[in-house]
Amino acid sequence: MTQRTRIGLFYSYGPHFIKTVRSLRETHPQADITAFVPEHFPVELLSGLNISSQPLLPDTGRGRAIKKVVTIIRAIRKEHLDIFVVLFNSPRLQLLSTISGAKERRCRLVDGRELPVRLTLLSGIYHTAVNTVVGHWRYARIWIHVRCTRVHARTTERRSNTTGPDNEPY
Amino acid sequence: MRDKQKQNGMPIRLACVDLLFCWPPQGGADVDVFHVLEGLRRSGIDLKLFVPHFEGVTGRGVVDISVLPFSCSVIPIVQREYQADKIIGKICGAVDAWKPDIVFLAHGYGLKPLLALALRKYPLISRYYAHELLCARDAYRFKDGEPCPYNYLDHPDHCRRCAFTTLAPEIKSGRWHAWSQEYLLANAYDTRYHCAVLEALDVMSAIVVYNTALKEALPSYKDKVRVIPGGVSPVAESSGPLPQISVDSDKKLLFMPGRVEDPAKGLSLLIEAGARLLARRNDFHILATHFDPMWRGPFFSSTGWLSHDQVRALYERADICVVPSLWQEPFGLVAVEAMMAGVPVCAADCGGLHDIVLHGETGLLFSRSDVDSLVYCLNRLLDDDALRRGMGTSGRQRVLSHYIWDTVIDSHYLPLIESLVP
Repeated sequence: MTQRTRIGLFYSYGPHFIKTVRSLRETHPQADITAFVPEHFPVELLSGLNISSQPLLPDTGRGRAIKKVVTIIRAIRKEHLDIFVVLFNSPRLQLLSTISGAKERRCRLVDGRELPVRLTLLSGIYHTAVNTVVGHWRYARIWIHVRCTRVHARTTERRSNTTGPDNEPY
Repeated sequence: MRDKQKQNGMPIRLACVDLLFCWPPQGGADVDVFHVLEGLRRSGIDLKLFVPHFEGVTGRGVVDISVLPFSCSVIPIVQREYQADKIIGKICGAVDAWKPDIVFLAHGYGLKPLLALALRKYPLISRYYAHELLCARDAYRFKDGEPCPYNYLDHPDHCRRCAFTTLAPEIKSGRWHAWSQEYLLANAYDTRYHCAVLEALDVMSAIVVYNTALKEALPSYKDKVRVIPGGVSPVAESSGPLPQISVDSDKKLLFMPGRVEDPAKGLSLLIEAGARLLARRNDFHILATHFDPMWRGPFFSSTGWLSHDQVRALYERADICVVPSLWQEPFGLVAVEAMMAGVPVCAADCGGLHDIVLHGETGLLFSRSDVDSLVYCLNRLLDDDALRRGMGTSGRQRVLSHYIWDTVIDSHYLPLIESLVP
């Protein structure tokens, strides 16, 4: 007897959670799917699709204590998942995917595309650090430009009968 | 239908460039572009859509070409080509090779004016889907819960600073969305960019906007600005099964469809109005298409994400469609869809909604962000079944005569294109 595929879906506050749940059930009709959702999530939305839920996550907007994070990671690892699905390709979710213990790690994006979560922990940290350094350098350069330059008056004078705070806003 | 031809008898060739197009659609602009191009193709115009696909960027240029009824070319842009001149050069090369008579610039943000300048040798129609021409930080022109009174064309320095402050977190983190990506690629923070935008407006043959308020915001270009609404499909296609909703059947359903989780859409205003209504009556329930199923309360709940078929099915169950937008809604497709389904609309009197909803005839308009006015209108509609039915019927008639795609194409787009073709 072949073992059924075990899929874990990690809830994130986003427009495509329910869409992803439905699409996972359609593409894997026989799989055991577990959704890790917030404590007060209406689980009847999932049970109708034969998806079990683990209401472990703090509700949206509430902080996550370290103790809670450890509990969540333990619960995910305990499932011995074949596939772990997250909804955003953020460094935090990449890290969570990496330590989920799942054989396959995937990211379902808002536009419906599915990407493998390939980054390892070290390369994830490296990419985030590089992006942040380059991003701060770019920010500083633009900050100087925006603060120290003005649009030449001639270009604004070209427009007459204009709208805005000095006149009547539309 | 007669094929649209040039004087030499050849069909008109139109190139459409959309910097953000996705299919299946990611937003209303994609749907608008799809229907316009499909309608033009059926009218005999030889057209092709050009869409850049940016490697490694979510939600742009992801197109399933096989399901499109018109020709489409996806232009791959790899990361080493992430420079405005290279991107625009690649797009222009593809457009030039196709030899169009006319170019239609569809959705795009910061790169669009630069693209217009690069394609200036063609007659150009530029369609704007929201406030992207007037706002430097996003397409909403909505700040601190109010429509922003400034605009980029007249107050460039104020808008440059506002845009930079808003986009700073994305710039610092290096994780960009479409707007910030084009802001950086086009150097939209630069003083010279403002000049480029004005020059681009000068070279455009026609500027297409959704509503009269947007036209009035561009007085210097009033001769070339055209107001063209969006549209809906001609018949209410068979709607899917009614999604699971836990609402008592004896309660009247106030339905708020669309991207309701966006603060500019005014869901908070509707909930405040609902709380006030609840003090007087208990015969209603507010249902919103909020993506988060955890958003619920004693007199309101969310549907979670729904397919378009499911939304259409819900219109049939709805008694009133509420569109309480706080921003200057450019069009208001949900109002048109509700009217098509014969549902009376209670909408904020702003932007495109002012053009769509005829006050007292197809629905009721209330002062934008005025909760008392909204409560009064909802009470009036909830109290009077005959009024709701009458408005629903009139609304459907109005949509059938003004907002069907074929009508929009025949009465707006085709005359515009024919007037520009040499």
